[in-house]
Amino acid sequence: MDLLTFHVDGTPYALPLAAVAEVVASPAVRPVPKGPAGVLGLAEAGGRVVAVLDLAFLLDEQAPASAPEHLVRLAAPHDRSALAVGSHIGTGRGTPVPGRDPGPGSAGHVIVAGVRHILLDAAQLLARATQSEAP
Amino acid sequence: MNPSPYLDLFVAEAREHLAAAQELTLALEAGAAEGSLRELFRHVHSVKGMAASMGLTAMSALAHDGESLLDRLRAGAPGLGAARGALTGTLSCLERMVAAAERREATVDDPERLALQARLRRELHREEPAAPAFDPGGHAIPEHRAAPPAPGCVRIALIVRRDAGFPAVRAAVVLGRLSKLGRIVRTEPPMAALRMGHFDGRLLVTLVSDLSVRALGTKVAAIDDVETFTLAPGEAPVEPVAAPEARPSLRVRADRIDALLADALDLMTTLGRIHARLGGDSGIEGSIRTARRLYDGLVELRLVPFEIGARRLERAASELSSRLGKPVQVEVTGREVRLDRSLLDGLADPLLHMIRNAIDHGIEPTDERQRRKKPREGRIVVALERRSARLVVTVRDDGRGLDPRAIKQEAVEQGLVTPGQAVRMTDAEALQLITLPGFSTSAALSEVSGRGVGMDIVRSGVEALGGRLRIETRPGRGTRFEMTFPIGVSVVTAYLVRAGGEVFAVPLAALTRIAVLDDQNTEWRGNRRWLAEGESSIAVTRLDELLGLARDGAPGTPMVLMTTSPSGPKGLEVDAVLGRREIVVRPLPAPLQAVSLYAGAACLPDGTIALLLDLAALPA
Repeated sequence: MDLLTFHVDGTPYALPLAAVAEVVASPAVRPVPKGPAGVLGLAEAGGRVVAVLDLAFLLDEQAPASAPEHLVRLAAPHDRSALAVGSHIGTGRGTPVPGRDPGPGSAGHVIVAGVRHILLDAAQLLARATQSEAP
Repeated sequence: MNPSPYLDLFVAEAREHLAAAQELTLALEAGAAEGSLRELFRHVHSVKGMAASMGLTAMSALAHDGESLLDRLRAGAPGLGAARGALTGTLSCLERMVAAAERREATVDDPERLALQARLRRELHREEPAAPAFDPGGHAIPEHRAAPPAPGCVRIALIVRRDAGFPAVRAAVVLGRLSKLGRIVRTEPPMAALRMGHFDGRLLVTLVSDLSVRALGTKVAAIDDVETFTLAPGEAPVEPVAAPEARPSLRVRADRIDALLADALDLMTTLGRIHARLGGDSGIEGSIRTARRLYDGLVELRLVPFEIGARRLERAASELSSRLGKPVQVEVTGREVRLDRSLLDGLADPLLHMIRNAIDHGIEPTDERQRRKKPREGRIVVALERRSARLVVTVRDDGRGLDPRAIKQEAVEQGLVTPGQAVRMTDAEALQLITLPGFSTSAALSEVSGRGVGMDIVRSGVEALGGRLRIETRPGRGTRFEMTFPIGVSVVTAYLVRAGGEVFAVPLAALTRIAVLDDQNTEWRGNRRWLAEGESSIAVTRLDELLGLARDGAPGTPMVLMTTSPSGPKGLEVDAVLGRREIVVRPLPAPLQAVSLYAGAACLPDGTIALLLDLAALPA
């Protein structure tokens, strides 16, 4: 499985490349007042206004919100949403491995270059963001 | 049903054929020419073939019977008037089956199909009086049923000599000879097809002539290239309705247009940024205009008039009204409103549900209406209206209305709310209970409140489109459903304003006035500022406070935007008004569609994203 890999609050995560439309560097994210807590705001990517999901919040990580370094715009049918990710972004080939419950928004574990990553599920993340309450 | 990779294509094409067929039935009703029958036949024939190729046997069987009846009618058989109801019902049934196929239902069929097939077959075998025919040769001729005679009008079915070459040329010669005997008003195949060489030797000609049938028979028999012919009095000629100019069309998937739209928006935004950096005379103004035309053209491709949906509603209402014996008049306003195709398709089911509910449960039977001193005929009004970047659709009837108390009681009995919750509920909240899944429509409730069938489906359909549903009622006077949707993509004239350090857009159409806010025209009462407006004053609310934003320290001239609301005029204070411009507004992405404060977002030329405020949704 070809994967996009990145870290959130020091934890390695992976997303199938098939679920990725593009990666945009240094995006300007515009907050949406009264919007759901799982959404950082809106950004422009590839001519689209996309919702930027707050990965740290959705994955229950503790990292304080900071300006994302990259936006990972999701592929159709979720192509009007993007994930805000930080550094250590890369690609690799991974193999699913069994493991304990990987947590919300996740579909399991994969080993990429010998390192265990949590495999993300775009649809689950989106549903979690939609259902999150406004702060 | 076996999901096929071609199912989506089938659904799209079948819908187009059926929509065109419905248009043609209406045109025939209005007296369109026989050509419309041929076209109608062609569309139903296409649906039959497509359904068969998808393995949808029930659908194909119904289309086959419809096609057989149309074949008979297009050959000149009378009875179109009587058959029209069966044909309309058939087309509606086929539409429902297409919808079932789209939903990937295991079995694509319809409860009304068999009855419709029986009706179509009855119409097909309907006897009509025989007409006098003149057949000097007595050879095998394509079956031709006689039509009610009209003075001077004759139908000639003939076969051109098969032993000679160049049949199309010979057909032209025959037509030339016939034209000397009278005025040719119609041919089958049509002239254009004959000129293209499409001719299998059989020709059907409708001729208006002063000669008697017998005299004409003698003259036709004398034409060398005619092998056999029959001749019979024909229907009164109807001037053919001018066919629209044939233009080639392309079928393009909506998502491909969306991808192009995104590219065009990207181009427009990039050019805008370059222009902003280079200054006023950048030399790319022409390219910006071209990009804008490209974008507008692509937006236009996705838009269709509501007229198509309106006719479907009227037909459904007419069918149900006849079936239930309740005379109902349906009025549709806003037919000309152009909306995104996906929105039109998504609206179809909720609107049909509401119309059916209104006729079945809302509108009283005639005797009850008369007792209540209401007009004998019930009235349903469907209205579409664009309000800035939103589409507002209302359905209202003059039926018996809803009874909030009865609804609460039913909800308590069904365990959907506790008695305590029911007591605390306002009437408006009680009305929303009918949209809960599981809220059933017992006979008692229908008699009391007259509503509730499938309203959970209506609400979920509306919400799937990013819309909101509101219900109002006046017991004994009627019910009004209001649905508000974000419009796919639209160009809105808006004021750009700044509040709490962020840029927002406010639709011009929602504003009544903009004023500078200073100590001269305002006063403080407690914590609230009031703006003097003539004899009265208007409460002013800070936009940044409403949205929970920190105050912006940037310099600017505070302004107040004045708007109206159901509770009266209201004022909204912003830190600065940045200017007025046309912006391209897109609906918010899925995770934000439930945020009712915004009607969409626009990407400005400098790369900023402005949220379009829905002033009606802002708290007072």
